[in-house]
Amino acid sequence: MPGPRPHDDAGSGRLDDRRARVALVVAIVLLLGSTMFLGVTLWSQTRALETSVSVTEDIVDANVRTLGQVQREILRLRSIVGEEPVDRAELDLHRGFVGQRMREVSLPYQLQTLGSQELLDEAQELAEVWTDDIEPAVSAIVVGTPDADPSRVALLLEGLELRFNDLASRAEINRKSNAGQANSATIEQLGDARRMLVGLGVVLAGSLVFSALAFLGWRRFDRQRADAGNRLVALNRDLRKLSLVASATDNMVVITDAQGRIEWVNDAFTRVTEFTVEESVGKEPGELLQGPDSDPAVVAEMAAALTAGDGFNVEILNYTRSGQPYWVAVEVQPVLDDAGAVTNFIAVERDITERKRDEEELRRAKESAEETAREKADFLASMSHEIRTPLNAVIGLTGMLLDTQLSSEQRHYAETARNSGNLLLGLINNVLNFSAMESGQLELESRPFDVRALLRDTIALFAEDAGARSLDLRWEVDEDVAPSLVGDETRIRQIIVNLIANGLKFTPTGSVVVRARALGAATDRQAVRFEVADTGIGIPSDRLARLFRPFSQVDASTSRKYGGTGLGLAICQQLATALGGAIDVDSEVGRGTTFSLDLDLEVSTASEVVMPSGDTVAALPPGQARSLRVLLVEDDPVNQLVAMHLLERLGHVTDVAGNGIEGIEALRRRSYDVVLMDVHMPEMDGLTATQLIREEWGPGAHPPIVALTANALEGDRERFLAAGMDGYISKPVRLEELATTLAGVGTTSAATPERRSARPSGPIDTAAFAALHGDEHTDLLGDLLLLFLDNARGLMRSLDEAVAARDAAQVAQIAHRLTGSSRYVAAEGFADTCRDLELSARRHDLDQAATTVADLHRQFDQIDEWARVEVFTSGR
Amino acid sequence: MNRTLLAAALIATAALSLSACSEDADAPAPAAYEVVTEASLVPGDRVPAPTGDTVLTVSGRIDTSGADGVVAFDLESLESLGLVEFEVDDDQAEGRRVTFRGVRLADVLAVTGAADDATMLHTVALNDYAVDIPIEDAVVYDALLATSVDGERMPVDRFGPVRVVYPYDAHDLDATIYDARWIWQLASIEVE
Repeated sequence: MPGPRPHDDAGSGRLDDRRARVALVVAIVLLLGSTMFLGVTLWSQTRALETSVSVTEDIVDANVRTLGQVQREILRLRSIVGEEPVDRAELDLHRGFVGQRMREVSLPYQLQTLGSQELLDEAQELAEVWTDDIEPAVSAIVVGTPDADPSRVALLLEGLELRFNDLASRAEINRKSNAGQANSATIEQLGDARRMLVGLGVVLAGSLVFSALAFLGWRRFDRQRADAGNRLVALNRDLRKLSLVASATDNMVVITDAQGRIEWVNDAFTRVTEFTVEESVGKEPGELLQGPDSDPAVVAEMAAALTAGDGFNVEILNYTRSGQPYWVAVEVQPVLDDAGAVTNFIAVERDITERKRDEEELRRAKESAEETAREKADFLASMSHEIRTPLNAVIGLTGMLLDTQLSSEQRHYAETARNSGNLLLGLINNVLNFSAMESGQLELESRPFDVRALLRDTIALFAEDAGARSLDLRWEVDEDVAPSLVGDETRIRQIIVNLIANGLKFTPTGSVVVRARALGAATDRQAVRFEVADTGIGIPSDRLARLFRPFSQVDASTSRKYGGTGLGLAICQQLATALGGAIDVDSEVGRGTTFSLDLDLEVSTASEVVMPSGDTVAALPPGQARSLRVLLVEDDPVNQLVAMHLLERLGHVTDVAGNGIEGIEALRRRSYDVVLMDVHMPEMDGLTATQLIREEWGPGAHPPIVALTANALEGDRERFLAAGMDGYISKPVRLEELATTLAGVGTTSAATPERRSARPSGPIDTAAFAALHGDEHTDLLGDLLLLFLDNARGLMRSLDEAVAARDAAQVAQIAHRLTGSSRYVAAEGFADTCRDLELSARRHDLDQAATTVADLHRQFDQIDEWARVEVFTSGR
Repeated sequence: MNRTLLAAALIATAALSLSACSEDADAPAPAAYEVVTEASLVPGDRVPAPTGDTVLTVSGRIDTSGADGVVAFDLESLESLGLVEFEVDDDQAEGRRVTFRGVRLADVLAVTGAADDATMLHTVALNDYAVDIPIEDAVVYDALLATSVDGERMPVDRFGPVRVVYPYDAHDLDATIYDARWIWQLASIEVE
């Protein structure tokens, strides 16, 4: 609105207006009253004047002279009558004059002259006296009859004259009185006239004042009108602009009254809706525009807002006159008057049909993409399963092939094939891991663990590889890091393993250092940073951001040169996120890369650290395993063969059942120490069979059941355990895993094998081995030795470090583990030395320990040498 | 709004006054008199010397060639100027409505050759009453020299023998001024 504070102007203007109007009405009423009063006065004045005039008229009409003339003519006639001789003609003329006067004086109009009826009657009586008595006597003289008596006539005339004199006097008195009355009436009227004049003056003054006020009012009104005109012109100008805006815009503009009925619409409205202005005005936009698919909730929302007099913003589907649907974004604002009451609503409607269509397409595309992703994940899972089954056969059979007599060239090929199979299995596991995390199926454990042990053991896994490439691989842990933290050790380990593998892969020379640093004091919780820093080729800074994206590698050539799926880091990041932490990278090309994993972990209050279990480094059963009778329930012949071979190598006796039903029948026939149960089988699957077994024998009364499955997806383990299974081995079955699991089962009732007193000549007591695993399984020794040597080499290195660090507890622990694994391969001397070492370490006799470790190294080299000569190159 | 009312009132008032005026203007003027006899004595003729009693003398600024400055009429010569008559209320003498018959004052002035630029007639009665009559009364208002009333001659005691009367019905004349000019027993006229 143009003009400053228009509301105030309008307010005072209205007040002035009202005051002026009241003044005008009062003035008019006063003037009308005065005029009416004046009119009434004038009316009565006129009436009085009329009376007065009639009196005056009588006086005017009065012919006073007549009376005098009558007397004069009578006197002249008497004078002529008395003359001697009498002039008869003269006498006749004057008789005529008197006659005429007597006739005149008795006329009715002489009432005005005489002033009263009484006098008029008297005058008429005198006229009769003249006519009846005197004139005949005068005529007699004129004619000259004998009875003419001039002296008597003279006497009669004298008497007549006297009486007329008296009449005239009285008439004069009457007339004066009448004139006086008329005069006083006139004076009174004069007074009235003066009062009227005053009244007139008052009215005139009133009129003048009124005129002046009216003039001033008019001037003011004129000025206001001029102002209003100017405002109107300005307003018009604005309005024209606004109108231009409203007309030119493609948005629909609707103005409604307070009830929401249309008062005005712009061109765009008629263009889009196809309703003409005439059709629209007076209607509610809703009844015109809404249709079957207009959202009732939005309609209700709009109705509620309109009723409350509020503005609102909504999006709604409307229809044109011909029924074409279109989407609009509606913005409605109420227009308020000075009192705050709603006078109008202004609605601006923007056609958003395009946007809605785009949104719909996007939504469909997204749904379609999600569907595709789900299908991909399902495909991936099923493909992995399909791949793992034949891979199982390849790895297993290659293993079996390696157990046969091969030339060194054939053995090299077979080993390469087995290693490739293992590598492929790792890749598939990665993919499965990733797809499991993608679909949010990751489940976390929360258990106390020792950070130092975690790093040490993890490092040990790579020790050989690093050593082979002359890389310095080591670990460091801040003193401030709490000895025991709570978390999912397996997942943390998985991340670190990935990072170390990554670091080793891209580091041709130098070192890979794994650190754990405390980012804060250990209270209830502690923030810990794990770092893996290498001195490798580094990563260009522009690639760093993409690094954690799935399937991305630094560049395409990377995958050719270094291999890998590009999933490792993506998995790390997802794991880190799942653990509530964050993973980051810092790198410089040519100088190396540092990955860091920040985790906020609970500090364990448990007094004793529970050592991590399932440590593949300590893959071999720690206790003495006995030969078990195993029931293998497996439908696939290749898998049957592989599993049987492995079980045989581990020294167990195996019976095979083709499916769940056969498995149950076998169990009825005889008892088993353990059942290895494939999950997917024809006739009856493993889960059903497990449930039936539990029902038939009762929980705890049946042999332990271990699931064998290629369904390596997360959650399967829980599912199997929930079904009543006691363990879980994923296919392809690997020797270590199988051994560990069965050892867990076997130790429950393991008999302590007989200890040989005689020392064997070599480092390996083959007789003890045979006793341990069964005579028929001595060919297993090579495999187990290989495994032992692999793992023990790493542990020996750790032992050196621990001794160097004078970490007695660590020395004792490693010694304990070496004792267990060496006894498994019947390296009895080595085992005894380890035992001595453990005892020394427990005594904190580190000097003795260092001596014993040197001794251990010697013995280890002997075993290594023996294995090379006796087992691997024996030509068996 | 108020101004509109005011204007309406003014227009109404004006219309009323106009209609009041036109009422008078539209009324047809009644004929002043009826002609009874045609004139036998016309202007230019010599007024014969009276054979009966002289009832009227005219003097003053008149055509007096062949006379002694006075033209005298008897009833016969006067009435030979042509008689006309009209009815009128005679409040001053008879006291009723009467029919006067007589000659037009204008004809008397014409036949006596009164001067064109004469303005006033000085009239005197037998009883010495005198009154001045403007010449226009003769020309415009048809003043009459009555010689009979209701078919009767008028002796002196009936305000005769000659009397000036006005056709009050034909002309709206103010009685207070014109009543005085109804001179009766008219004896002489002096043209001034």
